[in-house]
Amino acid sequence: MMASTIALSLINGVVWGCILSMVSLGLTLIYGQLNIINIAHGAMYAIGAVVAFYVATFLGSWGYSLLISPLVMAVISVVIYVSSLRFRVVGYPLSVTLIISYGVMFILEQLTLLIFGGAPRYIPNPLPYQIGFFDKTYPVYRIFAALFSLATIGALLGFLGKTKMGLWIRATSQDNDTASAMGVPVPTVYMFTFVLGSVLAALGGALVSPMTSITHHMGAEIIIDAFIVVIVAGFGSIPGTIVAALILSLTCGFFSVVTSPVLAKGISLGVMIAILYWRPEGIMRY
Amino acid sequence: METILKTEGLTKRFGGLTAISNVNFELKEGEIKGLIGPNGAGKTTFYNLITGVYKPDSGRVLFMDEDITHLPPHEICKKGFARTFQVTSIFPRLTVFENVRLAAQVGFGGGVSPFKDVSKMKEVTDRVDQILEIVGLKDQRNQIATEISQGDQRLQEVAIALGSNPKVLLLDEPTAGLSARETRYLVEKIRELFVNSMIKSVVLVEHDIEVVTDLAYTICVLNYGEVIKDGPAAEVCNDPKVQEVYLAGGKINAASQRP
Amino acid sequence: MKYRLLLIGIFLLLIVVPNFLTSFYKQLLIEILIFGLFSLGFDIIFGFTGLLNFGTSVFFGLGGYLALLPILHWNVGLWIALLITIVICSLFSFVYGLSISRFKSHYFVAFTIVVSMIFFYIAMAKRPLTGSDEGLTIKVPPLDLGFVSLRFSHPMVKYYFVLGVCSLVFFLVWKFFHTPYGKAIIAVRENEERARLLGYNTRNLKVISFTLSGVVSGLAGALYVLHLGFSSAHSFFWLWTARSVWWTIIGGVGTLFGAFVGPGVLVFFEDLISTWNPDLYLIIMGIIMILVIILAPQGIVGSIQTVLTKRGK
Repeated sequence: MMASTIALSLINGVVWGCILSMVSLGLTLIYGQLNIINIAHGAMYAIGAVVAFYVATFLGSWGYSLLISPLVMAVISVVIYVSSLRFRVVGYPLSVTLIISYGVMFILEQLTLLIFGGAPRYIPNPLPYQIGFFDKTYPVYRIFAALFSLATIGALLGFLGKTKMGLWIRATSQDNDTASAMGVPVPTVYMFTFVLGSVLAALGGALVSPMTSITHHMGAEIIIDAFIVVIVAGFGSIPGTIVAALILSLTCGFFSVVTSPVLAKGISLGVMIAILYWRPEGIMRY
Repeated sequence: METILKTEGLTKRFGGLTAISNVNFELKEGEIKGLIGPNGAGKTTFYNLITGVYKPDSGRVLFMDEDITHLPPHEICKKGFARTFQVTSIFPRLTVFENVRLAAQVGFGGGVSPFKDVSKMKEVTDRVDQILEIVGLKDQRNQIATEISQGDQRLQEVAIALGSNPKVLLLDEPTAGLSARETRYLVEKIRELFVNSMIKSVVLVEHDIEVVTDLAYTICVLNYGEVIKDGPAAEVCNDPKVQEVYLAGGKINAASQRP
Repeated sequence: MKYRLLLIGIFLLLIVVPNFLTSFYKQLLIEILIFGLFSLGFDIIFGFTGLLNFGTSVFFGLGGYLALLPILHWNVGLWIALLITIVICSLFSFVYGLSISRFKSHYFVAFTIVVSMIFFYIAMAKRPLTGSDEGLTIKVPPLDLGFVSLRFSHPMVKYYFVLGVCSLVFFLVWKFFHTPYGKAIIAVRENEERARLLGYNTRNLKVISFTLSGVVSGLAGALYVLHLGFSSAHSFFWLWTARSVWWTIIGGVGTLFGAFVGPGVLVFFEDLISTWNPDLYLIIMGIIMILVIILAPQGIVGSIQTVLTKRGK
């Protein structure tokens, strides 16, 4: 019996790891490109979930949120970028962009609180089936969420590798002066990257919304996770992000069987720090 | 003259590239020695190896017969090295005075104390003013380091280096980015400092060949990380191999000889 | 010189004026002083050393519990509690600083954020030790001055004690940054590589500065516990870090005095907003933070200093 509990926990870890990878990739993109640690990323995740709530409640079907949450977030992130970040992007010390991002987080979170309210809300599971797993069952929706995240990551890689904008993004993150000199519209690329990263966060929130309670501050925890994943992954490394996300989730999943979930959280973060200590530049360098 | 700085078989590789290869270099006390070579010859790498910023793959660095090869940079510099940088490297938001004082604290302060008040440390303050006076930055004393002219900033680089009271001064293209007039001024200053014994032993990396022949007694030529010639200035300048490598066939006019 | 006179003037004002203030404003002033001390710790590591410690709540929470727990379990006196806080905070900050000194820039920040969250999670989990989110209450011991024992909860006693501690620490830190050692720390902020090549052991400088910053913020945490007679795991929450950051930024980074001006202005401001419309408080704080960092990154004190130097020319 213990074995299947642990196994279920590990599967949860994998599922969550996939979703976390996608959200963290958004953060990695922004970090690798704009050198901004987007603390507001967590709030964007929460907004994605909140929008999904409204879609599910008022449009009757959660599925539309996979389209609507990203769209809403795209608009919001353009507004954020144009009104504040674009003035302090390149060449400014980390502290400046971090603090701007912090301020944005407060604003977003409070606005979400005012609109959504402080009480946690729930939406019904859009795929209320279970799949048999030894003597237990496992929600199909979670598997769907994990697969969807992986598919999105795949699409993202395809986009970066095969489209013109994707090429511009890769060029600018390598050397923005040269890219600019070669005609790449660097400021547009920056904004696009920020929007893309934010959209990934919102998508994560929408995916997670049927799985957990939706609150205005649900971003607070994931931003820490995503943040540590990005750092441990190594500067802008995409495979590193996925690996780091999986290590974090699996560790947390495993330990939450043996001890309290809160402590498991603390332990898994501790493991990540240990990795960072052993490999200060991240587990993979590109 | 005693040898104050020596490298033996110094080699440094970066991946597949050998930046410095088996370099034997010797600087005598009281000497100004030029170090020239085309771009990428390894001059800056050489300086980094001496100051401990890079560690060599093989070879040794000896300072007054002491093996300093594996010491950390701050300890090497405390022993009596000062270096200037090709791209001005100062403390941007502090004043000119404070910039030099940071060096003088170590060079003349006798220990960096957490208890004394800097404004009360007269020996240090006097030294800084003396250096600023000689170098010609007395008027810029209280200006922010980045708000002075380009030429003055290069002078500030030298002033900071002097603040450490170094036994060996490593100059890295001090005239980089200066006009002809500013260059002449700087060269005069360096000569003045040398004659007044404010600086004793100097390695001078320079691209401006006139500056080198103006100041240096001996010159060492690097090419692709190897020493291709090392000797008295005139001899080096007239060496055909050096002329081919460094000036693509042109001739260098050696300035008047120095005793 | 004029600056020194100004500080002395303000100090004298702070001694005299509270005698004429209502209890409410006295409490507010006490909070301003404590928060100012907390922000001072941040200013030391960020404003003067150039290292962005985004997890100052660790020190605040730790300092608080280091004062609270001995009082709760062993009935120690006020001075002993503070002594324990200072000693253990120093050790902790030293080891913490040592472990983190090898990291640069982004990694350093990430580390500090994560460490503070780890402490938060552990504090929330260990209910018997910390009281988790409900917290623990203590009866604050009297202030024992040898010849007389004063009730600490008396607002004037509390106020003068806090003022005394904060002024003393401020004075010591101010003096410290006028020593060669303090100047060397500033050099690390401006150009670490160059400082190293002048003969400074920059790693040691960073560790010492980090330790100092931890002790100062920890002391503030202890004072806060003595002020409220209470602490909870929330004292480790990142919101406290955020506060120390915005207080320092708005007050003026790298000015020391700005660390007190920040809370001085904002505590009143926050009080004003929460009475008018508490919902908008964080939104307005967020907007202010962004505006200040973009338009006036030197903060209040920094901007005043710049204006005065320009006028002097």
